[in-house]
Amino acid sequence: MKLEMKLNGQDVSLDIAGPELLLDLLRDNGYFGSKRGCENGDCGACTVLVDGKAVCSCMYFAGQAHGREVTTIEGLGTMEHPHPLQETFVECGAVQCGFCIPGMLMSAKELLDECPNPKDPEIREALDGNLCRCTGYTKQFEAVKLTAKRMAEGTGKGRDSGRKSARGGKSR
Amino acid sequence: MLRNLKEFYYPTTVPEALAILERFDSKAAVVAGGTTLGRTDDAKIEAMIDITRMGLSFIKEDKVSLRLGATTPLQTLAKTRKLQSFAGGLIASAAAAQPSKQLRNAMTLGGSIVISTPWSDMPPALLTLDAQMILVGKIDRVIPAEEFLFEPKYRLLGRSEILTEVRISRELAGWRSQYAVFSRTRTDPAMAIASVALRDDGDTCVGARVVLGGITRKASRCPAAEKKLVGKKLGPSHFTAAAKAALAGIDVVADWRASREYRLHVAEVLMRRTLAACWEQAKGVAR
Ligand SMILES: Cc1cc2nc3c(=O)[nH]c(=O)nc-3n(C[C@H](O)[C@H](O)[C@H](O)COP(=O)(O)OP(=O)(O)OC[C@H]3O[C@@H](n4cnc5c(N)ncnc54)[C@H](O)[C@@H]3O)c2cc1C
Ligand code: FES
Ligand code: FES
Repeated sequence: MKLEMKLNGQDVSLDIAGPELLLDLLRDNGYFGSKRGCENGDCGACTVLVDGKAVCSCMYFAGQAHGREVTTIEGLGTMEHPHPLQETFVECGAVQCGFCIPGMLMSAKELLDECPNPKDPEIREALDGNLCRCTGYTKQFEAVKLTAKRMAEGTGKGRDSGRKSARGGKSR
Repeated sequence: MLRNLKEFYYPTTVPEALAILERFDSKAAVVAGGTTLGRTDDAKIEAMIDITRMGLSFIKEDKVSLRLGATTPLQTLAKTRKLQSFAGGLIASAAAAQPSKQLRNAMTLGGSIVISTPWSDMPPALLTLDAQMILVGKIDRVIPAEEFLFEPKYRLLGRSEILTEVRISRELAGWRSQYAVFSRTRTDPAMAIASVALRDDGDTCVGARVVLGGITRKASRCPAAEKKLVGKKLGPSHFTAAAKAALAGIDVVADWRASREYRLHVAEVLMRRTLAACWEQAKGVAR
């Protein structure tokens, strides 16, 4: 069957067999930013936004995304124009091996889209479903907090311009 | 995996969804959040009916009931002000007890009820509030939570009938409540659940609803514990007595997470503390 959705701002029409999960569909089509961690809803490495809401793409049928708007890490920013969250994550040293980061950033993006001025517990809750084996979470928490501050002040180096997708990085 | 799944349908009304279900006989299933179904293995299923586009995501009140649409995401239940105050916020607390925002964004009220494992969070809360399940199929039915939950026949639900909404009497709006889970981690299934609601007239407890979950095959009301509370000016001794009464004679299950003895012990402590916390809150508000 044909699956039609908006993927990172562009209308796409993809063939699906039926049982595949959204994570499979994305990775099969070159969107390797969404990671296959536990495939069990536990780690959040596969997090994408569906109609602006963070969901685990490993627990979500591709078919459920029909007619909806899906945003992956490839739609967040590019090497040339990173999203403010991506800048602060780097700046704050919030990235080590990087495996959890695409999912973490999508969760953080949902938070800042819905609540530009989050309180500390709200930041913790937003990142609650993203497990990281390297960093200890403190720097990621700080990075989100700093992003919110900068976006509110308009002082980020980059701006969240909602730019069009770039078929992203090579890492798998 | 649903290896023979070939088609998705996106009905916009309940009758439309039921017609598709009927057409496929037992070869179609409805999907709401998909968090359980995505991991299900069933070679029979050929078609999936997405029921999240039929206007069943709502929280509203009429004269007699609070009405919750079956496809309302748990995150919405957890974050809506009205639910954070209705009956002491019991529904919101139970919804918030489930792990991770990503999952709660997808998981729905209906899916959580239909799944009903021994450690599920929504069933004990709904049992505490005597919720009514509204089912639509060849005939429409209203079934009390007590009867609906955990009956194996209802597992077939979603192949011939759709749960459209849950209703809770508005008479319970002013009750105080407390919901507590004991588990190893936030994402690990509960080893014990205590869900309680109390009503007081200033000093005396005039209504009690006590539910235990996570320790037996199905969550259940504990009338013996409720009797130890109603009509009394409550203090620590009553909470101890009620917690003991709740667990007396219960056939606690053992599994690799916890032995029978361990579960029994933590459930009793959890119940005692939960009742005390609920009462403190009730008194605080009434005075
Ligand atoms: C990692 C993980 C952790 C979890 N932890 C918890 C936990 O701590 N506590 C807890 O209680 N639960 C937990 N769960 C289970 C969770 O509650 C269920 O997966 C979820 O709520 C099901 O909702 P859904 O909308 O995703 O259902 P779906 O997967 O869409 O459907 C589940 C079943 O219900 C049927 N169904 C759904 N909606 C309807 C309807 N309206 N009418 C008729 N049939 C319907 C479907 O046909 C299917 O058989 C966990 C699940 C995961 C994956
Ligand atoms: S891969 Fe989806 S939650 Fe871990
Ligand atoms: S940076 Fe390595 S898992 Fe998070």
